[in-house]
Amino acid sequence: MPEELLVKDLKKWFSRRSGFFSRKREFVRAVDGISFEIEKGEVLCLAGESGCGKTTTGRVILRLIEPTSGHVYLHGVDVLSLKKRELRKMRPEMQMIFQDPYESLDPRMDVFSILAEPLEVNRVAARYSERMDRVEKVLEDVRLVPIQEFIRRFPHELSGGQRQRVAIARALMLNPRFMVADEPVSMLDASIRTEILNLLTDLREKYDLTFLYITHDLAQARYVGDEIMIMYLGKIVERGPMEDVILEPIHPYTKALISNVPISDPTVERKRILISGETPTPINLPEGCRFCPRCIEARTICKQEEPELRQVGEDRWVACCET
Amino acid sequence: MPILEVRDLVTHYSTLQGPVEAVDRVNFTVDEGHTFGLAGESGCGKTTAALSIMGLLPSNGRVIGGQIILDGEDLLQKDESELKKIRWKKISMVFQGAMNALNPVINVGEQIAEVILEKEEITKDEAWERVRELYELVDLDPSRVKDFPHEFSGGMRQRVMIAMALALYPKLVIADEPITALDVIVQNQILDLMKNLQKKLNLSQILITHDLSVIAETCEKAGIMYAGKLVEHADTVEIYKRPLHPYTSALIGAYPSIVGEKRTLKFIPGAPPNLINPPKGCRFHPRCPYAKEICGKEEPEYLEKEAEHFVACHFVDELRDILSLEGI
Repeated sequence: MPEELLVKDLKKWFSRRSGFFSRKREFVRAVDGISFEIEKGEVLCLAGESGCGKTTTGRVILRLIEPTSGHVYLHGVDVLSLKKRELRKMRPEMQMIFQDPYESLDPRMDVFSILAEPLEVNRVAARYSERMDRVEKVLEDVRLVPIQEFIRRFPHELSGGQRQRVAIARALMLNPRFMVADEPVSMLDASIRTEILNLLTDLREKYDLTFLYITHDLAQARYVGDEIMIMYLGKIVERGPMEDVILEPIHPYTKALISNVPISDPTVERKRILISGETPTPINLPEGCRFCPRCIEARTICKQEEPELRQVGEDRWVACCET
Repeated sequence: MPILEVRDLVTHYSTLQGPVEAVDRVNFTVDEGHTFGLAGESGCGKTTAALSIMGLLPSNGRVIGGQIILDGEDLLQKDESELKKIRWKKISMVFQGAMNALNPVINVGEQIAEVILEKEEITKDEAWERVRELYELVDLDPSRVKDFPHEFSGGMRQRVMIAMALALYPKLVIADEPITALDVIVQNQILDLMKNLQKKLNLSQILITHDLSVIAETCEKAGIMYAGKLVEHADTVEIYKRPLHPYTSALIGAYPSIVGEKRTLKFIPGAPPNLINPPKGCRFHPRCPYAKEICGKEEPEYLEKEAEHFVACHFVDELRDILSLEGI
């Protein structure tokens, strides 16, 4: 079976002037040549610290921003080479859930209008009653019930969790097959977060969805995902099945990241791997391995050669000179 | 030996819709040289409690009742000029998101020196000398005192905020969500720094956070707030291993973990209530899976149910075993 999403050597460089008065341009290499695939019905988590390029990756795949180079195939269709009109036809199949439900919903539209808009734009349901049926069905699916209580409300009359349900419902309106969820619960409180995560898991079955789930929280990734990909400075450093990577990380960066996730048990003593400094901006990248300046396992070779993402076991991929 | 005792603190905000009971009869103590964690969801009143202690409530906020005893003195009996002498010298605060509120056109050292010069009568040179000392204290490079905020990363800016809070050698520092906007690795660097300072300076701290796992890793004691109430207060290990309040237990169960078996997470149905018109009786009862009739009628008393373990729930004895099993 062909993979649902195939990404090949995707790059997105943002250019900017190197100084306020300078004419010279420099490049922020937000996404710098990444390749991966997602099987149908799978949830692939893309994790990393802020500024590692995970959001840019999600947006480029959906062509919300244009890539610098590379290929993206969604069930065989080359998304990046589509003409505007073809792309519009393709849009219903690929949707996105944004991080902030306080910003992603139009404050002047009520729940019904927000949800019916995709139907109108794509001319799927001509009659009002059809649209209403569809809206009601999806509201039920995201468990915003009783429906009559919510359908005429405006975003400001909803709590954060309810808003995010509306945002999810909107993404579901056109029966998508692929979804990018960009930190969909990080704005929500812990007690509400779980409910949304469980909802996404249910919807994945019900709508036969394939997910690219972007998050900075590895514990959350572990809860929702089948596979995980760790990104650092625009590159994938490690990839593999979720439990394997979380329990036995190979790349020094993944190890450090996992050892630093706080755990909610005060009686468990853990050894944290301390690494110094913070993620630099991907402008003047160091020679060789990008993580090398902060890596505690670095050797001379790490400064000279940029490691490729190599297969090290069944389904395990690591980009490190040491392995 | 407690350095701070908060007794029956009540703080209201006046709004057009009526008074908001943001903090309602909250009691806790902070021991000298210890870190007390105050946790809860957004809007539960943790920041309001902190601002009440600092005497820095916004203009529509007012402390209605209670006592805030710092080193034997009730802060609520003091007028503004007396409070000014206490603030920053005895008790200081790292405000939420303040690391992004540094003045972008003044160098960092000067912003710290400004705090010192405002409060103490010393010369500029002495103040700058102290800025360098503070830089070393928070592991910043003293040669960078003249750098501007944009030259610092997020974690370094948070170190600056901590240096500023320590500028006048306070005994108690309140840190409001000090690591929230930072990446995990940097979060731990900051938490380690705060831990070291606690030891080095015998500093007492209140750590306010929405993230329970942060409390688990750093605090000796913790309090859990819900809808303006402190529902439980105990030793951190006690809270995690033997929670006595259904809310605490549910909240702990709502966090996914990176270690151990993967388990199904619990969630709490509904959302926190509006505090203009909070639910009668126990404020958690509409969302509580164990609620009975009495919970909607009578407010549970806040009692010491076990040694140094305070909780406000009608059914502590009935739920004790169920909850402690669930919390693991």
